Amino acid sequence: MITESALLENRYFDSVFLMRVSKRLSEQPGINYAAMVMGTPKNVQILDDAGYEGIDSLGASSNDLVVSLKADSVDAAQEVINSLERFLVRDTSKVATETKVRTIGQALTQQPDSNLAVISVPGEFAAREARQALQNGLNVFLFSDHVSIEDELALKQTAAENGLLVMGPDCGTSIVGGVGLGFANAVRKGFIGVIGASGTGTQEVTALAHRWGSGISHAIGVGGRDLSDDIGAISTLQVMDALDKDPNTAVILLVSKPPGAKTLALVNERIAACSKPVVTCYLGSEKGLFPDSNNVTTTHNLDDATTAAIRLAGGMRVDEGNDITPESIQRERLKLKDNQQYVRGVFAGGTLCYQAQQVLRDAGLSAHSNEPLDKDKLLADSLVSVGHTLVDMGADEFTEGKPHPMVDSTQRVERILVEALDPEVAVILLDCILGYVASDDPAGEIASAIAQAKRTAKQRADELSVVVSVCGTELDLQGLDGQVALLEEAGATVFKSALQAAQYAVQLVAKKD
Amino acid sequence: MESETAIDKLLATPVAAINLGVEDFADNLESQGAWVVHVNWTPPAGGDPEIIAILDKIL
Repeated sequence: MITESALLENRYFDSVFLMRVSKRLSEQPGINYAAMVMGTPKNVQILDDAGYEGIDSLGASSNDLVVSLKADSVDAAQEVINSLERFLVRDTSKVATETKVRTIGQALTQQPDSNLAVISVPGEFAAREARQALQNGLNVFLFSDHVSIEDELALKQTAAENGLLVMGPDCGTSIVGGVGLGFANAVRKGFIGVIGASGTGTQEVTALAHRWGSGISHAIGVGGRDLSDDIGAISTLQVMDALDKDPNTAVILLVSKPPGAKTLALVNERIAACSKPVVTCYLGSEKGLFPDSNNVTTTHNLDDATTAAIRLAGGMRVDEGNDITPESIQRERLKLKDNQQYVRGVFAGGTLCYQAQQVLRDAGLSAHSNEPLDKDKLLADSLVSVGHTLVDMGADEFTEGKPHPMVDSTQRVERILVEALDPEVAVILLDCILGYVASDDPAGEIASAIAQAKRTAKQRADELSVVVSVCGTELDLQGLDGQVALLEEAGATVFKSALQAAQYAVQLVAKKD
Repeated sequence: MESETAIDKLLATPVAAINLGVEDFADNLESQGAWVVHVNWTPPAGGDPEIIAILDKIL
């Protein structure tokens, strides 16, 4: 195999577009791997580390497009490089792509009533652009990650002084007045206002609320660090003020990892003064650590949080039901051999991975992870599972220079197949996240790997259980029922709740630990 | 009565966004009926952090 690289000077493209083109390039005849990135020092280093030789000698800058191909032959690589322009053509049918606006100031001239900047530029430039947005009187949805905690604090302080909001950084999801920002599910409007310091946690509670008959006024992401003592819940408190005043919100649901000690006191003080009932869900905390008080209902998982919010909003949870019975669990358990003891979770959603770890811990099972609940359960190597292991494939080590698993399941597919080779594995636990910006067919991307994993086990006369939770609604573009059907046809047991999927997985391996 | 902040207005009025970065986000907003202007963003000063710092000081 040979490596061929090329540089296109002063051609800037966003990372999502480039990842899509990279995938198409890798499917061309004679091409084994393709990388297409902007030539930032960090990207060049990532490619160099990944064995794309000669990248650093190209002399790329952040505005230059770097293409590197691992191919069967020089001819195969050159043929693709010579026709690159064909792959770089955008779909011009979309009006938003026609803009020639180059600055926030120009955009404001074109659209003076703008109320929000959506920022997803590379992390090293994100704080600068967010600052400029705030200076121009715009609220900020900051999707970019790799923003320092110092920058986050400064941005949020500036925003708060000016009555503006910073959602993020690393904010995956918000729904503002029914409009989804970033990765969000299509949900009906209703009376539950969500404050989310966790992207997939926000997706799960909003999707559950919709499917269980309720709806969402707004769901505002605040960034995973907002409730740390470093930030002091600046955005959370601002959003709570706004939702308290919002006539369309009847109950406020706060989803986060446990706050810092000082910040918890601030949040509790604000909740006590809130005119509306508040539901908290601090994932990862020990049960009973945060007791109910006055207008706070404390919950321990995303399903209970959603159920409580629906009730407090004056509704009643519509039970979806499923085919799982004690007998069906027993039948599935009997298929497993005695040496099949372990759950292996391969997650796209970080919060769903975190909640699953909590389910295992509550059942007395100790789970390892690259993003562990307890520090002593940190995997030595994220690529190698040990005992019960639940991996967050959206973590930095898997996404630097590579697509997030909610956009492209390639890395998850590889991991599923690796886990299936281990005869001690009883259950592979997965999530499948629908919604805006996510893959067009997330279930289709993992379905063949699920079937293959089960075949692999069967070849050594084992039965392997594959359990999948689907996060989504019937309004999502991917089509909820069709996605569930694809997974079931592949042999998976499918739940529409990540909690229920994790609990089912635990029941399959109970007393086998 | 407390004064209305920009956050209150954001929750009370239709989303009118300025998008910097991933173009799919602009397309996604537009497909939901939101107003959006996409900024044809490129790294300032070729991405050179020293020149960016100088620009930020003098502008």
